[in-house]
Amino acid sequence: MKSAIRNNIRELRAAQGMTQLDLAELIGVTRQTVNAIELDKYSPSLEVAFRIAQVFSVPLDRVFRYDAPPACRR
Amino acid sequence: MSTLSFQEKCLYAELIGTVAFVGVLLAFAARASSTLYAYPRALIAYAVIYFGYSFVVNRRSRFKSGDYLIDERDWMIESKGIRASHNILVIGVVYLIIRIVDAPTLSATRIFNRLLVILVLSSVARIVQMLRLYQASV
Repeated sequence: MKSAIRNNIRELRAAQGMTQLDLAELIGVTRQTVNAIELDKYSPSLEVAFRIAQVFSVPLDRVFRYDAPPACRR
Repeated sequence: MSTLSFQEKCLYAELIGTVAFVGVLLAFAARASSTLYAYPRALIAYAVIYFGYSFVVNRRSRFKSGDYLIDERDWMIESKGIRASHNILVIGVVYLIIRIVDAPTLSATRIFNRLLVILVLSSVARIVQMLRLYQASV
């Protein structure tokens, strides 16, 4: 099931010529976890999310955005 | 580069080991004239093998922690797998208690036999649930 949290990690990574393994080593997770995050299948912890933003030197909301399900929207 | 993570490789090894254990036990039970002590011994052997394996895997994952063999996602998947395993254990133990209360003459061999089946089933449930979650890329 896809998470309601979307991200631009793939684009940010491609812009810096970084592989999934490079990013995984920098943020301290496995390559499979980076892949799952990129596919919106897994929502990382807040700590990992901040580490990703720090690696790309961008604010957190440039990396992740929350697409609330219709029931949650006001 | 392998597409399987360290945890997935361990799970496949565990699944093969469990199937081999059950195969050997069934082959022994089919040939042996008496299985009086076979199930208690098999239960102990299963527990020793399982805890030995867990000890080795935990040591390796701690030793290689700098290479990030295990992370938060692995822990989350493991907790979901353990939950599935506990569900089977609870159902199995309740079933076993009902059987014992229902038939107090139930022999110790039969109780060990059922206990072994419950343990193997709960272990398989955990492995299958975890592999399913890994396959789904959760």
